[in-house]
Amino acid sequence: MKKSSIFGRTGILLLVLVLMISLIFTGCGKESDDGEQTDIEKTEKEDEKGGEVTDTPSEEVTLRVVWWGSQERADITTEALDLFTEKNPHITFETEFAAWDDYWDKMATYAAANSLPDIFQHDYAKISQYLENDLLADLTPYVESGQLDLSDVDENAISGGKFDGKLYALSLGTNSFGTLVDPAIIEEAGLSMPEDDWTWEDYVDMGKTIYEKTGKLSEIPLAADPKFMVEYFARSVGKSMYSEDGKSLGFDDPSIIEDFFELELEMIKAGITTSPEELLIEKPIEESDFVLGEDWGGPYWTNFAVVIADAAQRPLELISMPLYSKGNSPGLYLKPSMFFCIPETSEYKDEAVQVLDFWTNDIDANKILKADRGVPISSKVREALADGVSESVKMTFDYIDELADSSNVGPIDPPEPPAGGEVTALIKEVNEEILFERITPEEGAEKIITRANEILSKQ
Amino acid sequence: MKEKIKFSNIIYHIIMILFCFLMLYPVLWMFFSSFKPNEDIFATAHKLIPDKWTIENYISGWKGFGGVSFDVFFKNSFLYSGIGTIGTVVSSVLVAYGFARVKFKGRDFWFTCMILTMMLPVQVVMIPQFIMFHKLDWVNSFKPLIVPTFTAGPFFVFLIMQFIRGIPIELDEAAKIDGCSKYGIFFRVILPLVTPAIVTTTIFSFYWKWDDFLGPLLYLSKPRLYTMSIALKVFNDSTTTTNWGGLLAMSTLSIIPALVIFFIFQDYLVEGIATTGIKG
Amino acid sequence: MKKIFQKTKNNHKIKPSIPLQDNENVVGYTFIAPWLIGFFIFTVYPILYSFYLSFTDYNILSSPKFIGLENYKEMFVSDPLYWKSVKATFYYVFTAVPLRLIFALIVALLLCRETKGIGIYRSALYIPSLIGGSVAVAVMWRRIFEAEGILNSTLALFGIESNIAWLGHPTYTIWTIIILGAWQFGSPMLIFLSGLKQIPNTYYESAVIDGAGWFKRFFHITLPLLTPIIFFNLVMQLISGFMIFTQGLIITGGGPLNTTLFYALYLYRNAFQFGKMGYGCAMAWVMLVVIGLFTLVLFKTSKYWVHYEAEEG
Repeated sequence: MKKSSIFGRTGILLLVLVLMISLIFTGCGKESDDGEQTDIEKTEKEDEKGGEVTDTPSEEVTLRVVWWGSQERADITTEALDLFTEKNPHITFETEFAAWDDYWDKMATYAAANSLPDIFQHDYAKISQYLENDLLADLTPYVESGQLDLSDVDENAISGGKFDGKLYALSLGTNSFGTLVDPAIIEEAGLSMPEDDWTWEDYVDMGKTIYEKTGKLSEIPLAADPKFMVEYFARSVGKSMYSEDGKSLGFDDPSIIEDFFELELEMIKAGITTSPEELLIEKPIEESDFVLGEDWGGPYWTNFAVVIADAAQRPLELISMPLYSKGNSPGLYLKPSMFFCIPETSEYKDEAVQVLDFWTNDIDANKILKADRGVPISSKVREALADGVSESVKMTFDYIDELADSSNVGPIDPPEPPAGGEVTALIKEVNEEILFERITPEEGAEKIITRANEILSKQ
Repeated sequence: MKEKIKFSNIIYHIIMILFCFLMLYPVLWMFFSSFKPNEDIFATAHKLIPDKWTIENYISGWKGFGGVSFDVFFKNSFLYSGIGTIGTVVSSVLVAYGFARVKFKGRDFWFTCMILTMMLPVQVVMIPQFIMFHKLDWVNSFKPLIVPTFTAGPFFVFLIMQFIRGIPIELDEAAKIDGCSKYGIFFRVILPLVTPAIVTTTIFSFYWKWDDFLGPLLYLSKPRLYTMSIALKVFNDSTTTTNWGGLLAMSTLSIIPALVIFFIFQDYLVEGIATTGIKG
Repeated sequence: MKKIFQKTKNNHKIKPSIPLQDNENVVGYTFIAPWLIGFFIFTVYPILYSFYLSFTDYNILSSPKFIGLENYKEMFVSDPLYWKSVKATFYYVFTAVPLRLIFALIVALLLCRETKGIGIYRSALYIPSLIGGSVAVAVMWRRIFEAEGILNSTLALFGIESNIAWLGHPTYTIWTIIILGAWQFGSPMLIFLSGLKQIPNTYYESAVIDGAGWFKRFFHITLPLLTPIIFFNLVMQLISGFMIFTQGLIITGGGPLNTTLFYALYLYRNAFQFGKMGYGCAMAWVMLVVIGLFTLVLFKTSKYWVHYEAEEG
């Protein structure tokens, strides 16, 4: 008992001390702000000064720009920003980038510390939390004043970034799903290319024939991202993934999920896919069955299709997604990929908007950016780029153009509710249980509906 | 007798060489693959020795990204690991002695606190810590990483303590009779005797900071401030093709400094208490 | 400094005539001052804050909402994945930690002799631990354990035909992580080695004179004198075992069937990927208590098996 009293007294002492020390400490920190810089910081500041043109009339501004992605994307984005500085010497940049997962950790900490960068990349799946907390600046006034010129941009490509009628995010490109196939293998199996209105049943039948004739495997549709398949099937029957308020799923018919699981199981049981064990190992693109020529194709995001096609180094074709035979509504949508946002807290909104305008409309900048973030939204830029881009990028340009008129494309649903990430993880978990035949598709579908509604209602 | 010793020695070496090869196989794979042309790395993955040697990967990897090359990342890593290690070693030894050999009031309580701090996952204190460093305006400098190292690492304190507690107390008492204060005992008796522990601390501390990912990720946002660990991670983005050759080449280079530190300091490790002249 | 004087005043046992440098309280607090200062500045506030957050609904972006014990209730009652992660973590801790320690001790004993080339062996065997949790490890591990990987082709040499993709198999995947844990035995090995070096040669010399064989020397001298170091390694490996995170993240991503969804990994997902920081903090505090209990048991039982030279400590 003696111990507890010591704990109590020390506890209070502890608190007092913390307060005292933290007070002193913050004081010190502010005073010595510029006094104790590390060498690296100093050289950097000097570098920045050296690079600036000294007699510019405007106030000198440094914008923080942050995105996720590869080293290559970093190189081209920096290059495009340098081009901007060349044209507007009073604006310089401080860039940061990270891999997808690390990126969101970083942004969360920035948001918590009230220090979001002036321009940062965003995603449709993550944006609702930022909107709910009023962290993003409304870009509508800038569009109206002409500072952000969107006259060459289809309404379709803008609307994804509009929430409650206000524009909060500008997409640098458009993405959607397509089936990337290897025409050589299809021909080898004595088949012709599928028609635009092919169904998943056709997909499985084709897979069986191809395996029989050539021994090549089929891909399980989106084994890594089963949530999209559920969404696709739900949209195909005129429903949506989530209800309007985001508090429950947008459908209550388990057969939608069940049909997808049955499809997977049929492929596994027919032996035309890799084993579930192999399937779940995350492999680098260079080692994937498709790139190595071991399978004939599957559904991919269009910007990812570019990467695969580049790695495969043989002619591939992007064709339409198979249809869900029970539905007759459009299952696909044009996804604004790689949103860019300006936070409400930014001190340099005008300059940041200027950069967004430059990215959207400047042809030279887009030549540097190489449509790495999806098909450019401005039709002028698209036209100017069409001849200069690689075969694989051109393939997605054409596909997206065709898709815009297709009957399988409808308006995009509202952004995911905050608990969307958890629902996605749940679907992935159940999908694995199905693949390993631990539960039946019927049980799996029930489990998803009950658990997902539970998760969504709690948020 | 002599023959027998020689024979057992040979057996020992054969066993060790085989064992090292087995343990090192993955590392050797990385090393040799870094000299293969990029397209051969996975195609000839079953072969250890490259068919065609090239240093192209080292050249392409060294260029880095965003206009910053690997000499900057190396320099940053050295700065962080070097100063951080000095801070950790000096402060940890002092604290360890305090806990191990001085009977002060509240010692058990503070010791418990220290052990407890090791058990909280970093992910949880990360946000409040970041907010604090942000308010101090320390983000984007090495301060949030280096300053805390001067406040001792619990792991190392505990480690050195265990070594100090293995030193016979009679030595302390003898020194006390000779007129040494607690401070004198620390410098003249304890410090020379815990060399193995200090060397171990140096090696670990250097390497752990060299390898630290989360800290630099949060606090060093500009590519010019990146350390090796972040730079290497940037090579590998799952949404695009990776320059595997460059990645393996730079990974190989990144092991070298820690290995050199180990190689230099292990001699001191060998000269433990056994050779410092303490007999019975 | 204030604190030190207060403490001294309160301590009536100490005679006023004792000079400052011999006052154990002053000396003690002076020595631990670096840690104590750091503890208050860098640790206490974040820890208390995370304790508070564990009773809130907090997604980092908006301010925390107090919800009482809801997080703890969800954890224990309605989150099936939570228990899966507990199971995976215990499985890992109780296999990988003993394996790694035994392995480390054996290697340390092998390396504890004076012979030519010993420095090279020592460095070579430390290298695996220098690779840490980098992506290179993930790549190499896949090389070894995939269906046509090194392991299966080695097994084939011994006539065992296997085409199991070890890394994607619900039963075996966790073992690839356990083996990885054992493979990176460098740090406990090094600590054992330093401990072995600290045992005075004279002990062995007199034992040899008494005619003790290798086993007797090992069990009667080496092992007892090494107990403080074994104890240290055990505590540390237990703590870090419970916190296993990186390997699950980069090699298996928690799968398949969530068999490698370790506690810290699931905590991280909740906190950062699902925006449930409050829930993550609650998970962390339960973890703290569990690790604390295990450590406490170790400390309590240590007096029965850990042998210290100096009993003052």
